[in-house]
Amino acid sequence: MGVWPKIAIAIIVAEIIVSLFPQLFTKYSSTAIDLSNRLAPPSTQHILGTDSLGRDVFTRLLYAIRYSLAVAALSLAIAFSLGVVLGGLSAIAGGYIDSALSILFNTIYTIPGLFTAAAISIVVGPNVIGASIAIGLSLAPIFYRFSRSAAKEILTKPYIEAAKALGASTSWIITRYIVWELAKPLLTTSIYLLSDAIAFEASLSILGLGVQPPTPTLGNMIAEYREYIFTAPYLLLAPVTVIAITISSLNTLANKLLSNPIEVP
Amino acid sequence: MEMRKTFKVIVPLVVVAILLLSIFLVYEYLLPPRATQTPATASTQELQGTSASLTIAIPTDLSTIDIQFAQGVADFEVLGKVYESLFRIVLDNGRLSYVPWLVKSYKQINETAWLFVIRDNVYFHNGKRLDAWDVKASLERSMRISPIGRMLLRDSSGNPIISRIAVLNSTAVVLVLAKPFTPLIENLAHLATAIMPRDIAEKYWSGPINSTADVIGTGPFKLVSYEKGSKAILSRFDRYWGNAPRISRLTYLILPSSSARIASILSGSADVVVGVSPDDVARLKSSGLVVYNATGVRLVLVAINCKRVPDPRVRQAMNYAVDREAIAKNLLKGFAVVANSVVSPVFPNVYTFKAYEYNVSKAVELLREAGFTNKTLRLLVSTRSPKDVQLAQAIQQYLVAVGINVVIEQVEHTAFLKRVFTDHDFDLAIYGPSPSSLYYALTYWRTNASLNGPLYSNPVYDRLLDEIASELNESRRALLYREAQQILWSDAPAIWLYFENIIVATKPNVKGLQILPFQMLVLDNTTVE
Amino acid sequence: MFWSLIANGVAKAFATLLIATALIYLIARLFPGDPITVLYGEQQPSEEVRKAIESRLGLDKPLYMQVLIYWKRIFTGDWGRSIFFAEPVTQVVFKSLLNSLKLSILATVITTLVCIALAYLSMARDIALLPTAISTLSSSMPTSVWGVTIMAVLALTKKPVGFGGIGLPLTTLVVAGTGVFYKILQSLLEKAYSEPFIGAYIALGMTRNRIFLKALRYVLPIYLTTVFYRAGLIIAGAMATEAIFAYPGMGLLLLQAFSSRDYPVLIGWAATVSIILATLNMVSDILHIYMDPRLRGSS
Repeated sequence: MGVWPKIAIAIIVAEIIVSLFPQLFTKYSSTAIDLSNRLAPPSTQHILGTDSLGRDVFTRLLYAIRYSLAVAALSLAIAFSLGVVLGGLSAIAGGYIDSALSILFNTIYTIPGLFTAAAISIVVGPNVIGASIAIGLSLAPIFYRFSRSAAKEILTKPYIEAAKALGASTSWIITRYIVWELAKPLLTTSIYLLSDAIAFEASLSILGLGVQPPTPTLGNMIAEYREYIFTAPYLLLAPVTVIAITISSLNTLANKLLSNPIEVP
Repeated sequence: MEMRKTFKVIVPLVVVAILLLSIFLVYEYLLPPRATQTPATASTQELQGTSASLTIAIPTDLSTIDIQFAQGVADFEVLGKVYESLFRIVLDNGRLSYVPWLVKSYKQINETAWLFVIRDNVYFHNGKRLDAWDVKASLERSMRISPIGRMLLRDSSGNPIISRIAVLNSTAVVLVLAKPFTPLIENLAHLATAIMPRDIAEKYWSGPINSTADVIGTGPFKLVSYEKGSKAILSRFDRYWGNAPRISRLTYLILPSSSARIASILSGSADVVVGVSPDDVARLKSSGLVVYNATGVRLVLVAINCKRVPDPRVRQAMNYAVDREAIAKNLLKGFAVVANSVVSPVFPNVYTFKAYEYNVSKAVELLREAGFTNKTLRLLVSTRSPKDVQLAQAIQQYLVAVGINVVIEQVEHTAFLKRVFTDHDFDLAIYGPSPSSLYYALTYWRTNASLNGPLYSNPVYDRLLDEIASELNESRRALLYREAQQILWSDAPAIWLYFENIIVATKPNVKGLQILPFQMLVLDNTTVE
Repeated sequence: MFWSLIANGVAKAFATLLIATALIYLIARLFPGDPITVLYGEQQPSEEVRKAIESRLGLDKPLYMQVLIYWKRIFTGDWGRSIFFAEPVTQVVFKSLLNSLKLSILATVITTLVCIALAYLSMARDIALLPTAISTLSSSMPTSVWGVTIMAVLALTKKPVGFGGIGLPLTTLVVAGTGVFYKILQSLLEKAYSEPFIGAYIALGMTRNRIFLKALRYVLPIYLTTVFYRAGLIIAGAMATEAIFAYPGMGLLLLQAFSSRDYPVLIGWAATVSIILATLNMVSDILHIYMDPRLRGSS
């Protein structure tokens, strides 16, 4: 194993530990406001400075990792499982099932994510779970279309015919062949969509949905610090760097895990 | 095989079409702006000093193009250049006063009848001359459907204050009142009672104007185009009856993001920026821009639902619990005046009271006395203003410190209005009324008034307002005003926070800008050098 | 064969149109606040005026009737007038659609060309560092942050920020999109290079450029599916980007129409977007089948 995958693992593990025990790494509270010390530049006291309400940015970042990773992971899991399973099903079953699923996902695709979130908030109220479902639903059509068209292609391959002839079930074909064949491009897409999911969570706050203040998330930190790009540009750097590092680490790991193409019998 | 042939024709066609379209688009939309726009504006500015154009970046979009439906700051800023009322609000030595505008002279004939003589040299943007019939139709429409006009021209029980408008001749009208009403003149200065041509007022008798072609006023500028969410363009009206403005073309850029507004002036795309955040002032000054800091009338408050928190001691306790000095000094960097009155002191007859000083132990004591312990309150805040969301978090911390648990709920602006002012479904809510007169500001808190989101109700207060309206003696009226304000101050249907200053930044070559406390720019003498 | 594909696509588009418009209307209706709240804000209209407005907008009818009426109006071409935009709905939607189409087509074409160029460098010229660096940089920030960053750089260097123009949103979308699409193209190409037919080409002594083209042709269908997907999303509105630069596209229109509860515009928006997206899906499906010879036989 090279040095990069090791660093990547270290970063991911560190992030998981931080999300589980953020209080171990800071002496501040993520929500304690100090109006007399607003927008302080980085110093030994506050290594990333303080935000517009005088809160320690480093502390907020630690807590934000927890909330954002949870939302992003949950929503991607929803998007991935819905999209890939139903996409595969669509390709294999064809006919009416394919048409119905296409219409369903086209509808989700047409309705903007903000509206999906609004609809879910009407039912479950504005909270983290609702936000995750909304983000997951609106990202699902990407996976659906991708795996449907790729699965169609795979289905023309001789070994699938062979498997079918040997009596393999539909779900077996989906999991064994389609998911594995598409693992790499799907994983790559998911990892990149992670940053979309995080940014999307922030855009939900336009309608007052999603995570409510003063709880920090990477998304709402970005949305807030964006307005200080001319006065305190270093603020924006902190959450953006975390997102960038997370994505590249996950990507490195995915590359490593999938570098040996899976042999299909 | 047949399908293959069809594809062979269609696909290359599609590809070629897309390519051609993109080449065309690149050519059409990316290249010319740089080539044509810059020299054009530069040359017009050099040739004629008087026909300068001005671009103003504003933070909110218009909510309507109908002046009588105007509500937000942007509506009055933009449509206020297009329309005029019978009277006008002017700022004189830091105090507001009301002067005749479309009216040449007026006279109170008796307790309930007023004669207005209208200027005979005023033209609408469609070329028609202003006459008494336009005034009658506009005022009647305002009383009928204008959201604010209904408030201004009706009494507490919802009956119209003006019972009849009699046209004597083409330039004279008599307003016959149902009963004496002293705030009449100041209310006729509000733009919700702006004058429009009679045929347009009648065309839109039961709904808002919905065509830019029908946006016709008597103001110094006429509306050229309006692109919702993007910009509004105005041009000078050449037959304006008053002093012609020196600006020939006025562009309002709608930029809700504060960093986009800063970028617009730093990069030179805008000449004036309205709604500058206090945190950006130093940055703008260091870039050589001029920053205006004007007193504002917007009172930022935390409304307390009086049905859910009926005990005034609890509401007073919340006032003691919040350190408004710290908020004004730190969160707003001194660009705010701590509220020691219920209405901005720029209006005549406003009194300041003994401040609710920051006193945690007093607050705790009052809460204990009232038995208000272990309570959770939901604090509603509109997503429209990021500053309000920050403020909400500061308020939360102050109230938690005295033992009131607060949960913040961000709500989209329209949903916020619905929940606060229609459904009254909130415990605490942050907003900031911007009144045009003292009397109007006080009617917010009248029992069953539509602006009375917190459902405050005090019969003594209501009676005082009625007395003020009918009291003709000025000094007695001042005493009644004082009494009403005192009641409101101590009943505390809100945490009175601060009056927000208006911060406007301009390029150094923009001169003669005046700012009204309603965050309205007066461009009468503005020049671009 | 070809026509049956079209017929199938049209039928699906029709169903999507009906469901999407109904859902969008229901969501907007059930979310707190209505046009009367927007018109009257902190005030209330008189009962008489409220009734008049409600009956003019059809809000006094049962919800399912309101949906049926809008469906009927979509197909009779009577899209009505906007409540707040001061224009007929068709005009409002058409103007925004045109802006979004421009943005979408240009962003997609430019991004794709950039990605192919980068992929060529890395696959056929063994220059891996530059493409990797560019794609990592591009995907390190969410689109909205790129927008703000580009804006700040322009402002600080005193370059005019053309608010309302296409230049900045386009640059933002291209810069932010390159990372993801390069990665997708790259991983598809890597997979293609491991296929036996490429090995055969190599054995035949084909030049690297030609092999790259062969591989590109092989992966393009799947790549295009993803690209078309994003193109569609931009037509439906690149909301964050449009909002920062005040670019009057479909995203800004949707935000405006929703925040003012302008139901006729919302319905017009939904109908237009579902028709466009359905067409795009159809084109992408057909392209896919055309470009992938193996699928042609099977479908």
